Amino acid sequence: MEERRVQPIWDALFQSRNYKLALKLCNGIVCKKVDSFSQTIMALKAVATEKLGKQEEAESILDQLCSQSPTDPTVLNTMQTTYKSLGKLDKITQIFESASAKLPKSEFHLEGVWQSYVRRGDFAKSKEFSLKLMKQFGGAKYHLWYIQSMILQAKPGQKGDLQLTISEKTLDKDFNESKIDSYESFQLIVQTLESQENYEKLLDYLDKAEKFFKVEEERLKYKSLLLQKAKRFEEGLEVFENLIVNFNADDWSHICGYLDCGMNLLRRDSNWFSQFDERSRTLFRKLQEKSTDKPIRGPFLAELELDHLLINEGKRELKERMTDNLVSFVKRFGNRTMCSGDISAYLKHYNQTEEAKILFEKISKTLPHDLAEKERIPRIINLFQIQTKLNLVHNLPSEQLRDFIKQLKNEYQRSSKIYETEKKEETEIAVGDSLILLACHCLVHLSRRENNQSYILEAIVLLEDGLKMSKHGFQLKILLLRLYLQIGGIKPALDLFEELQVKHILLDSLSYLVMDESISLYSNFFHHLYMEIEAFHLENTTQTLEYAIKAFQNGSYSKIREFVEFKKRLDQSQTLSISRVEHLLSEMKKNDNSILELEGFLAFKNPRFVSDEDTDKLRENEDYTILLNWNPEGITSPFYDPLRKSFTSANFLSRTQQERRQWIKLRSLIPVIFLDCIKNRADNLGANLDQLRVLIGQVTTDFPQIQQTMWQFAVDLFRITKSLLRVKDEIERNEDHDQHNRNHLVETLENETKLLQTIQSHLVGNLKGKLLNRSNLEEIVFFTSEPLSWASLLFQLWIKCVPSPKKKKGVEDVLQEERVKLKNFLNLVKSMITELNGIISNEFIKNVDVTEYFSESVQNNKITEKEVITKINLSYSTILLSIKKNLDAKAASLKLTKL
Amino acid sequence: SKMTTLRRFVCDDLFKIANINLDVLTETYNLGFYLQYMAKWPDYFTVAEDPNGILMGYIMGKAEGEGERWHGHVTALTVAPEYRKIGLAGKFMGILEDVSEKIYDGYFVDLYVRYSNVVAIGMYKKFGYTIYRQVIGYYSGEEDAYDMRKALPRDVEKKSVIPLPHPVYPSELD
Repeated sequence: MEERRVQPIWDALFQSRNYKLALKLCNGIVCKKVDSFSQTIMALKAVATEKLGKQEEAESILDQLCSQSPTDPTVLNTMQTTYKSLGKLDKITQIFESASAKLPKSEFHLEGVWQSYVRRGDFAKSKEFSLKLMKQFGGAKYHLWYIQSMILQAKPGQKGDLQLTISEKTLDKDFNESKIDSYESFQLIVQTLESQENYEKLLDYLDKAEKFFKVEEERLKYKSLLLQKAKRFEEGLEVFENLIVNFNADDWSHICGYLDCGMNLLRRDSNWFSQFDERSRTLFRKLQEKSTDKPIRGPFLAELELDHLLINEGKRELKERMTDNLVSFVKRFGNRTMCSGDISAYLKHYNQTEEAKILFEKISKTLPHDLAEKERIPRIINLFQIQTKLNLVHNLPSEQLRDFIKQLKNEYQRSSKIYETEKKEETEIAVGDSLILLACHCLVHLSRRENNQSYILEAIVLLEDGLKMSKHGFQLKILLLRLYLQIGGIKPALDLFEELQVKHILLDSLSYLVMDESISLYSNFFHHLYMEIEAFHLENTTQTLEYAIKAFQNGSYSKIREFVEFKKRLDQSQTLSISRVEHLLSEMKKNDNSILELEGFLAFKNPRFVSDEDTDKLRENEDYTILLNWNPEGITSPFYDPLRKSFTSANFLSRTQQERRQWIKLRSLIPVIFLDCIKNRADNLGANLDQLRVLIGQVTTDFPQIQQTMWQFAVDLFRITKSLLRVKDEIERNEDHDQHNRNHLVETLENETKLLQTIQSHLVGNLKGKLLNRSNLEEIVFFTSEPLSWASLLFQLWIKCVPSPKKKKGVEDVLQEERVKLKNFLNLVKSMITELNGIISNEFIKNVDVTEYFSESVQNNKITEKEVITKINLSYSTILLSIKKNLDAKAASLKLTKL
Repeated sequence: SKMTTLRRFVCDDLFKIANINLDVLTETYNLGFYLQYMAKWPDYFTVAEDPNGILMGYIMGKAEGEGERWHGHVTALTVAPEYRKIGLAGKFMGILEDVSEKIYDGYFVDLYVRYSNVVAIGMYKKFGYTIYRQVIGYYSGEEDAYDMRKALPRDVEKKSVIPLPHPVYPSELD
């Protein structure tokens, strides 16, 4: 009977997801008494309410239910689901604790309490409750949960930690009593001893734990690693050799381990050199001979790695041998796409142009004549990449560099021909794509060297053409996206980002590709992106430790600590931090026509300053390896290569980590300061303004002068506000004039007017000269959407501070001077808005043309080039249109502002 | 990009899968999907890494089935574009078969592949897999799948791979 009434609600909630219907069904059931049926209905009602977005109401239903201390498992599980969605994890503990108190003999309820603590990452409590579970219900698994919780309580890398000492002792006993009986439970011993760096004992254990390793290679791999860590290099060398010879000669970790042990022995005793050199070389050569019909790269690269390590140790005489080995490696493996990557680390030994040239000449000769096209292309690509990596390209005189690029383009054309006879799958990436990428990197380099944007346009055209052949070439798309961004083609860049289908974890690792804050003008796109980032992180907050619980239950002890660390790494994500700060600022812009609206919005959001303590913990989860390039050492580009030094203001990649953190702090401070102003929190405002000034000083050091002026203007807006608030207090409290404050106010206002004049003439000059480019656009976007918008908002506060004078004869207007200055400033702002708006409307929006920007090279005779120019023009128009919209709104709001 | 190191997939690898997952044929799942596999079958999730720390590809799988249908299943196998055609897929499959045989003691390994994916079908045949049955509309009702299998030593008589004479519907799968 009851089930018949509950089932339709379940169906509505979890099958058809018709939450309104579910709620209606719940409300239609009248329960006369409190029992598990009435509680189920209430719990389901909470689910429906929460799903309908009424979170507070859902919580209040659950809290009401909580007071009845339900014990029914279905009720508890349903409540748990909703509490999880609401982020109220402590309430879950509460409901299970009270249920468990009612039913002390129930394993389900006590385990529920334990789970609730793991979910909250409280391992002291999870230890306590696994102990209770163990005592009450027995079972080896609770004992292991107890130990795992104890290990999780210890801080990583702390020798002598009490928790670790106790777990070690307990595990010793367990092992002897055969309570440790699987690979996964053995991982508890591994964790305990590794945390204490007790590798010797772990090695002893490993011999006794052979039976837990079902795959012998796995056991030997782990043993060799431990021997390495325990600095028992002789034995390590033996085990690694065994792995290479008898298991896998192509596994790089075996080879690296082997050589590392050898090099360590060499450092102990230099006489060992010839012995080791001969021993390892004989080993590798034997393996090379063994793999003649289908050669594996391992043994060949191993020999090169050996040369490399020995040269690093000062054996410069081996360089000749390395040269021979490099040449023969390319000869043998030059037909494989990863050949140049394989050897790229060794090419840095050839940093003198002459020796690089000699090496390259020798390598070039390995290209056999009359090769079939399909065989020739990868070889040619490898040669170009090696030549670039050897730094034989970037320093060429411009004309020769242009010839090189031409060669790359020709080879690309040639490589495309193979698809005339051999059909290319649509999803396949064209073989010549890396030629385009390399050509574009060279064009970017030329563009910077000659300060000529037309090379960027050429690169863009090349990439667009390439994408016609490789529809899904994500490497091409990424570079194209970065190049579009750099020249202000923001719309096409964002379209490319969408094509990449960045979702879930990729949001955390790849959003930086479009996160240059100056483009946050595309508020809809970014609003959506920030929401997705937030949703992904919510999944982490609510789900990751659920899987830690599953790992406990499943006995996957190797994974539990990993999940805990992973959750933390995501919680401290830099991407998340930037996203939150920028999201708040962009939301603020939506409420920036009325100070009252803004007050409501900020009071709801309760902005918080991201402090040093917060930024110190930030984790850089960004994946920069996706920005593929073959640059030689010392050559970088902000387009596709994360620079680690200051370069320009807008480029995310050009900032150092420190700068990015300062930037996050600076941006987070602005909403806080606004709220200080609105709420007239004088003390906070003073301290936060000081902080703002310091941060701006640090962040904008390398900015162009005009941008520094704009930031100065922003700071002074808040300083004026602070002084005016002081004046307001004086009037309200009938206090004496603070003459110092008055002087300061007048002075700042005068100065602010001057700053605004400078900015105005700069922006107008840029626009009138029709020199619209990325940086001009960035300046006008920034100034109009931030400092100028802030000014128009703050005016609304200011007029409240300077009430109209009472027009009585003989009564002097004590604020006359301030009023005049304020009026001047306000009029200037108004006239500036009118002027900018006029220029944009009359001269630009309809006929933006960036052709001039790319001067020389635009020939407009190529279809793709025309398409690209049209795309960029369209993107500029859209931006200008939204600037105009913003300026119109500001003008309208200022009309109402009268002093 | 150099040589390969094969090892267990760990959570931190999720920050480095872009080079593999941006490929149009590789799906990026929600976090829970990966974590569930790591929590339940940690030894079935293997990744290949080059010495620069760049991920080359990964395989994820699980053990499932009752009685004589207890087997290893390949959930996803993917290799980044620049590391294709160097035998990495074969190595991954070898590891998964090893795990299915030695750790989980299964009777066979199976996988689903798109009916139209001729390249993949050919590759799996090369690895010793045969078509066990055709599943109608397996991919969102839009495309059929082949269920391909390879018997492990435990299935002495190779009963698990005897092809079914007729195609089946997804509802008939166990």
